[in-house]
Amino acid sequence: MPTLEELREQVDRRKEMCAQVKQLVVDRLDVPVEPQWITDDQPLFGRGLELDSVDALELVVGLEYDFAVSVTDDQLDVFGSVARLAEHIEAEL
Amino acid sequence: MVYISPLAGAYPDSVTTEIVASAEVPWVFSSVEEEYTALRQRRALFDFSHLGRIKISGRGALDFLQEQVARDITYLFPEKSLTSLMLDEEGRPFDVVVVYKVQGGYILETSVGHGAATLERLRAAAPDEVEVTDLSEELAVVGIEGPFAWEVLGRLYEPQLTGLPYQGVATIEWEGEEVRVSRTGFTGEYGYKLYLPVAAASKAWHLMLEETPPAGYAALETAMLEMRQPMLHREVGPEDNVVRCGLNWMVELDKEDYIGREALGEQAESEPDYLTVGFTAPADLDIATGSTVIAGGELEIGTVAHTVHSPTLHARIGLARTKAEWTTFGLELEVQAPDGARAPIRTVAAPFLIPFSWSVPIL
Repeated sequence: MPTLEELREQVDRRKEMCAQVKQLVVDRLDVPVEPQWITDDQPLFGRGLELDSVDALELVVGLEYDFAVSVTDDQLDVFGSVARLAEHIEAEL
Repeated sequence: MVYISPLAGAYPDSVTTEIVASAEVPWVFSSVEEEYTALRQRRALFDFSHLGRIKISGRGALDFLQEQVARDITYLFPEKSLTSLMLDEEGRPFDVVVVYKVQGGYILETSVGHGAATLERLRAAAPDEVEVTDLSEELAVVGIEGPFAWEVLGRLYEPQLTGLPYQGVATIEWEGEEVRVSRTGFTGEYGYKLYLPVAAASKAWHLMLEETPPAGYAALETAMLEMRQPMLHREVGPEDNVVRCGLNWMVELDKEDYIGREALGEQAESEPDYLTVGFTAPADLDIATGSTVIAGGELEIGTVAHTVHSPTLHARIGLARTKAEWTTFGLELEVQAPDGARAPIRTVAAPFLIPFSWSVPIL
């Protein structure tokens, strides 16, 4: 079981990553919402931010540009939420 | 008074029921596992008549409804629905509603078992020029969800229904009756609701039953939690608000003048004290609601709000409300039962799983 200090470091890193993903979504897709109002678990497609497949392509480009992280066709799950995207970036970095 | 569906007489004798809010719902028809598997792998039939349905009509219908719901319905057209929270004056979630634009007004679909409470609130607030009509005895709601739900819909009713976009609405004629079909499912799979008069609903139920097994609310609630679809009756405690529950996406801050808007603004401007996160735990672990969440073996950071068993993940999954500074995915934590026993959990990013429908094209 990780110590409080180890957990604190994980929390800080993941919150920062989620904040960057929210900023990316808002900037790249012109979403009319303050980034901090988007929740980590907010759905991105369909319900939630109501993004579509064109937005998904734009996000893929943004992830490559901002994080040097790619998303392949079989990794649809990364678009499940902001936190899913952050999790993917963390795993790829 | 407990609401009983007009389709309840059509259920097989094997059904077990539960009370959810003010409705008696079919909980399990055969077995939760079988019904869940049908839903996630092929399709399952639901009686969604336990969702309240209320018509709001009259000259002032739009303005009245705008005061009631937390998202803007100005540009809502008949071919598209909109999901929104209704808040109370303190900015707490009151109901999750789906709004449909119809001839002469709107239909408001409430969450399960919440029809009576929402109807009472609307009737109490409606001005003279607005008519609030309860449709729950006149119309029934049959649902079908699953990666191949669209097949049945296209074949039995109208081929063009398979092309219905998410949250789309179409009106067709079937058996001489007007049927409103919406793609507004709960489980992340292709999901549809059919609004139709009670007699026609009974025919539709039996027709669809020939090739689609019925599923109860036990399987439905499992699938909903897997997708983090809000279930207020399970997730929202007396101290909770929109931000704590992570329901920000179901309200609009740039919309003004609706019930709870002022209190919501205060939530938005303050640092949150608690937030919600999903977690997984060993499948055989029975975690009581209210169990304490512990970090680093020593620090109490929150409590468990709700859990279910996920057959797909072979795990117990749940939601915890934890101090905001500790709320994120991927943390190894513990839960402590009231008797002091501790067990490991891991926080996870939502949704818990990706539905099969995401990889099944509609043909």
